Amino acid sequence: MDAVQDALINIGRRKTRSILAILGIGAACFVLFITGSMSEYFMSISSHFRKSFQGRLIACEKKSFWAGGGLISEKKVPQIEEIKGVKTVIPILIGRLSNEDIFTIGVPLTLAGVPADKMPLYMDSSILESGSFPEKDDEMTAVAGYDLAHLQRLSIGDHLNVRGREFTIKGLLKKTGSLEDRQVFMSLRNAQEILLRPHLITALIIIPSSEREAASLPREITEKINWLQVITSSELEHELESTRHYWEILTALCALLSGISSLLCIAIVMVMAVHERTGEIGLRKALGAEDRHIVMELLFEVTVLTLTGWIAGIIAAIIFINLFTGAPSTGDVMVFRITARLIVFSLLWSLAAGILAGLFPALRAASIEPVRAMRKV
Amino acid sequence: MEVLRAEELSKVYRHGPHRVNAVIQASMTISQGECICILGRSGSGKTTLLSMLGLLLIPTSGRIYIGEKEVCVSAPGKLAALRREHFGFIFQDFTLIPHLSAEENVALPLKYAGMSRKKRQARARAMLERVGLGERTGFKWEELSGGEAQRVAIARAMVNSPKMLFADEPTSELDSETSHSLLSLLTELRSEVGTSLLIVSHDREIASYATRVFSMKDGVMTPVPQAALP
Repeated sequence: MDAVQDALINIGRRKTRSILAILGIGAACFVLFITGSMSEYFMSISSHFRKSFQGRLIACEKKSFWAGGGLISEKKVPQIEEIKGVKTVIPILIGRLSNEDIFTIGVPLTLAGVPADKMPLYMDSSILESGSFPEKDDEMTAVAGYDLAHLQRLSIGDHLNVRGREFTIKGLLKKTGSLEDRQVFMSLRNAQEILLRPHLITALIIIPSSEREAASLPREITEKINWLQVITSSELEHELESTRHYWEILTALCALLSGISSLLCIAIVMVMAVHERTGEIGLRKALGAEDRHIVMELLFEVTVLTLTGWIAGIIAAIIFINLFTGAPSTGDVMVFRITARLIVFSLLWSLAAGILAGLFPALRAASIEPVRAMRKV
Repeated sequence: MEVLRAEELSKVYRHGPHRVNAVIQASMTISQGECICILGRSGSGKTTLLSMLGLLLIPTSGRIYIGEKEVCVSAPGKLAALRREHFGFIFQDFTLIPHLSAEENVALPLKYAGMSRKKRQARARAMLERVGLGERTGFKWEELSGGEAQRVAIARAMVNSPKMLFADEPTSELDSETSHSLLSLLTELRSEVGTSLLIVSHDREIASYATRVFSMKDGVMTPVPQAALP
C-alpha cells in the first residue's frame, strides 16, 4: 500500500512528464498490440488451414489460388474422380456474401457452396456448435460461421438474406479463428444460383485413397488435365510457413521498436526524476532507507508508469480494433485476433522494458552518498 | 555507559592534485545522556566530523564503535540500518521532504524500520504532540514557520528513540528566542529518553547547553575547558 501511495504521489508531482511518458509507453503498446493481434489472426487462419487440408489436395485453375481465380466447369469432376488413387472430389464455389463492391482489407464475408452430401467431408461435424449441416434434399438452408452469426445475430431457424434470397439457418459453427468464422455454407446448387454461376466451381478438394497415392496424384492429375494446378498439403504448408515467418518478423520488429520506445520514455523520466530528487534520496538514506528501499521505491514508480501506459495502449488498441472492424468502409473485416497470449506477452514485454530502463537510474540513486546528496535539497 | 567511540578519524578530500584534510585524527567517546557541542567556524570540518560519526560519510581512516562493536565503514549497505537503529539527525536548513506532511516526515524512519502504517502514524502523532505540533500533523513544510519546521525535524529525529542524536547547526536559520526554545526542547527530550546529543554549531551560545565542548579549527578538534566558555 505504501509503495503504491508513494509511487502515485511521485508520479503526481510531475504530472506533465508522467503523462507524456505514459502516452509514449501507450503508443508503443498500441503498435505492438495491433501488429500482434494481426499476426495472431493470421497464425490462427494458417493453423486452421493446415489442419483442415492435412492429407488433401487442392485443385484450381492454373495461376489462381483457392477462390481467387478462374472458374472450372463442374463437369470436370467425374473426370478427376476416375483417376486412380482419388477417393473423392469435393467441388466448391466461393464468392462474396454481398454483391456490393466494398473495399476490404482483411477477410471479407463470403459464401461457400459445397454439395450437401459432401459437406461432412469438407468440414468435420465437430465444428458444429448447434444444428446440423444441410442435407441433400434441403432447399435454401445454410450453416453460418461464428463471426457472421454474431454480426447478424443469427440463431437456428432464423432467416439470412443472401443477395436477395432468404436462407434458413440450419446450423451454427463454433469459433475457429479462421476463414470459416466469416462464411455461410450452403449447397453448391444454391450457391451457383445466387452467384449466377451455373455448373461452375472455383476449386476442388481432392481426397486421395491413401497417403501413398497423395504423393503421385498431383502429377497424374495435371498430366490428364493440363490447365489445372494441384496444390498438396505440404506445398500449402510451405506457403503458409513463409507468410507466417513474415508476420513473425514484423511482430518481432514492432515488439523491438515498442520496447526501445518504452525504454527511452522510462529512462528519460527516471533519470530526470533521480536528478531532481537526489537531495530527497540522500535525506531518506540518512534517515535509514537502505539501498533496496530506494531501488524498490523507484522501480515501483516505473512499474506504475509502465502499467498505466500499457493499459492506455491496450484500451486504445481495443477501441481502434472495434472501430476499424465495425466501420462500414471496411465492410466488417476481421484482421485482428486478441489472444490471452498476446495480452500476457505485451504486458511482460512492457514491464521488462520499463524495469530495465528504470533499473540504472534506480541503482545510481541508491549508490548516492547521503551527505553529498543532501547538499542538493 | 559508552554509546559511541571514535578513534583517530580523518577525512581527506581530493580535488585533482590537491588534498584537503577536512578532519585530522579526531577521537572522542560519548556516554549515554551526554550533550557534546563542537564549535567552529564555517569550513572548520565540524559537519564532516558529524557526518562521519553519524555514518553518513565514510572516513578516510580511523575506527568507529557503537557500544563495544566496531562499525565496518567499508560496508555502506549496512550503515543505513545502523543509522536507523541507533541515530537520529537534525540538519541545518530543517531538511524536511516538501511534499510530505509533518506526520509523514516524522514517520519516515519508522517506515524504513518496517513498522506498520497504523503504528507509525500513531507514534508520529504522539511525537508531534510532544513537540507542541499536535495541531499541525497534516501541514507541509511550506505551511510551517521556521521554528515549527525545526520542531518537526526534532520529532523525526527522536521518533525511533535513538541512542544518539546528531544536530548540525540546528538553530542557524532561527531567531534567538526560537533557538532558545528549541534547545530547551532538545534538552528536555534528551533527558526524557536518555539520548546522547552531539551538536555542531558556530554559535557559542549553544555551548551553555552542553556537558562537554570541543572546538574545531582546520580539521583539528580540541577540548574546550568549561571555564573558557561564556
